[in-house]
Amino acid sequence: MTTNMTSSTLADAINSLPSSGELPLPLPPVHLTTARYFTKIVANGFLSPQNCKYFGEPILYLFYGGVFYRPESSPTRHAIEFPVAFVFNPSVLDSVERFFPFDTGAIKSGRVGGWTDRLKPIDPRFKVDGRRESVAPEMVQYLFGSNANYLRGKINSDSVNKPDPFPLLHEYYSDDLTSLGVDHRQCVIECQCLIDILLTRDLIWVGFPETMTDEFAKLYLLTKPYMPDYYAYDCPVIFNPSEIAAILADKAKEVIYRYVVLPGGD
Amino acid sequence: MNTFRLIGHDNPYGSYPSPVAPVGYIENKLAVILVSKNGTIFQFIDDDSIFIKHSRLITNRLTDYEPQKHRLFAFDKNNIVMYEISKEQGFISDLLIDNDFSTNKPFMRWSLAKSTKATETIYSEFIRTVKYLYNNYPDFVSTWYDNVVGNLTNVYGLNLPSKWQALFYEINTPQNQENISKLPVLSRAYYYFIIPTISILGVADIGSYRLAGKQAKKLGFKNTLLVIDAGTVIMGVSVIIALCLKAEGIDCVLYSRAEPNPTDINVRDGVKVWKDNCCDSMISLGGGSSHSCGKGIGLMISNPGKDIRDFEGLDKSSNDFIPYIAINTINGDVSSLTRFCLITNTDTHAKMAIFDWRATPQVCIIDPALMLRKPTGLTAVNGMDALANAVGAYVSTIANPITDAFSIKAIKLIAKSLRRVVALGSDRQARDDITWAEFLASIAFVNTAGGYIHMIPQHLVGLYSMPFGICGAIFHREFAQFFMNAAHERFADIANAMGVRTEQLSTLEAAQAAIDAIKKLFSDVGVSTSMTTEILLKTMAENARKDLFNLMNPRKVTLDDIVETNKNVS
Repeated sequence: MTTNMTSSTLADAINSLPSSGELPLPLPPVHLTTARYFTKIVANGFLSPQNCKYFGEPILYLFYGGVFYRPESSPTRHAIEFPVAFVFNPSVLDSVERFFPFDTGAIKSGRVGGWTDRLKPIDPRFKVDGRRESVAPEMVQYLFGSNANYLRGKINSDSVNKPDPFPLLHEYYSDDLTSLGVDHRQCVIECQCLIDILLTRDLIWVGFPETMTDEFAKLYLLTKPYMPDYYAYDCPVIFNPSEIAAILADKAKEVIYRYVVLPGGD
Repeated sequence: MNTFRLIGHDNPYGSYPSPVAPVGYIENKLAVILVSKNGTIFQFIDDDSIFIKHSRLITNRLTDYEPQKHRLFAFDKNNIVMYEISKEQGFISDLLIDNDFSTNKPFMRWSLAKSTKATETIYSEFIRTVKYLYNNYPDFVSTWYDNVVGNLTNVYGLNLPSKWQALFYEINTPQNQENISKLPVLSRAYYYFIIPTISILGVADIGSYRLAGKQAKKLGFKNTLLVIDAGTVIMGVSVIIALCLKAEGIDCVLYSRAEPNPTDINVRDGVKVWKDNCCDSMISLGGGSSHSCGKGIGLMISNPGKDIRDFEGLDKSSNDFIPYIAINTINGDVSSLTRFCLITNTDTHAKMAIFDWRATPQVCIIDPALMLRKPTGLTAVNGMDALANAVGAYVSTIANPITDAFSIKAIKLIAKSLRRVVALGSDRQARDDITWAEFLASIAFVNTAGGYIHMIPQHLVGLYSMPFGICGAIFHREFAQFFMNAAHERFADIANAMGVRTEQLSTLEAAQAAIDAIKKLFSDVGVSTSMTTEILLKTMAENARKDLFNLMNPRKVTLDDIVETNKNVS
């Protein structure tokens, strides 16, 4: 398939589409960080935007509806990091400044081969204003058809018939990039926040190393009476973080699927 | 794996002590060594990656390191040791022997303990971790315990109680304190529900206490010890009971030296009266003083050679209890219904709490007719004590559906009828309501250990001989607010039971409304006291800290809490 090189933006394309009836329910957004920062985050009681070299401003990154962990995307360049995941109530989506239909870090750092050039300029072409209501469920519906398909990485085949740049995104999602080390994170909606997100009210689940349970105990007290669920992964030795992240992703998925199975959730 | 040259380590936790990831070169490429489900692997990292570079001294010490054979553990960034993977269990067990190891990271100990797969190590660290949480994050204990206990049972074969309070109940007994390292088997049914075999509740018109004779005959009484206190003698009820017994051919010996807070001396004196008169059975008549004293006597008679002090704690008797009927004349008393008794140790002046299922009366008679002429002030205090029992039981951390049902109904009855019975003591319907409430609240209380409401007053009673009901009522009034903050939903339920309209209120507002309603009831029935010095409260707090009841509280009580509360007590 040839690439449509017109300069239509995803936001325009979404706006041009007729209303397609009932949208899927919004999914919980997820913030990923590392064990090294867990203590500080708990002490602060909030997540705050961090300087982003690609966008040139402080940004707090979340992924829509899942744990999409890349060890190399950690905010420092330590030799090894253990993942920590925060899953929030979908109400936190109100704090999102803009959405992108992919992991911008992977695109901008060149981890997706030739797609880095083909998707340029990702901003503004693929940026969707977060202040617009229900934008994430709309993206899910047009790109994947349903929440369940999104979480499985199954693309909406009809998106090739939608206005530019939907066909290009369909092609990107469909391309086999496993040889580049890209996995399910290829199909992900990224949320960018420019403001702090408090942990005290909308946190619904936390995944962290079991050795840091006392930090979670502090968080548990901090969040009363809205205490989150949690999963503490066992790590008495230095396990491969990618394997840990896969476990965390599965555990978080159990939490997120509670939203998918709600009436209208899919 | 190709030759690996160790040059440093990285610690993903960022704090020590911790296992650490070796960092070094494989064919001039920087790599980190990781543990995978497939064994030891390496992962190449960027040359500018951040990690701790080892000094020459450390490098020389770790020169034999081989990724497939060894792992690293760091006590701090400059104190790194290497151990053989095949000896990992022994290495970690040795670390855990040191009680000072990783005190700043207790869950590192816990995680390491599990990795040993040694049951005894896991058990002792489990206890240590539960205690740590209880002391530092009491609100989180239950959540954590519930999360891990199933796994410990399924994976490591540990037989643990389903509730952490039950574990504490076990490990706090003196015997288990001694045997804690011997891995005691902790298998229990965790929700006991204990009541007398027969409970007879009269209505105020009838006088069901007159059934004592017939019940005694059914149980084979021939020569019974009637344990009472001076107040009961004045009421003259003991004479009626004696006549009822006589009508059934049962002889009766009176023992009337149960003090308001019975002592070990009272109990021993009662045992002498029993023996001197060759008694074969016992009836305790009155309030908590008579019943506690009677149970003490019964325990010593049933278990020859033991002193009353030997029974302090849980289920210390070993023989069947003597034939025993308890007749209650006091609203708010729990003794006549329960396995519970309090005896003052005359050497220490502390109350000895005795829980023994064998001491539960075989028959309990509660008769509002005995309470019709009760003084107004006593009626009010007993009623508020019953309310305290019901509320304490409802917010206890080991409340269950049975005790909840009892507690809520008791609260409803008290809210409905206490003002009435205080205003008009002869109102038989109101008196019946309060009697039922007392029964229900007492049962709920003793099957949940009652929590805070009995934690402090029992020490106050023991130390200063204040009436128990007054102590309980006062502390309930002052501490309900404190505990409300940890149990909003439960207190919101209590507001409903007290008749507060909560439809338009948030849970927190409803909970606060419960506290206000309790205080209003206090005020309306005229319970007021002047209260005590800071020293007195501190003394109680020191005792309360050691008290098992604290474990059942929705919020742990500390010395500071009690002193702070004292500022509010008028």
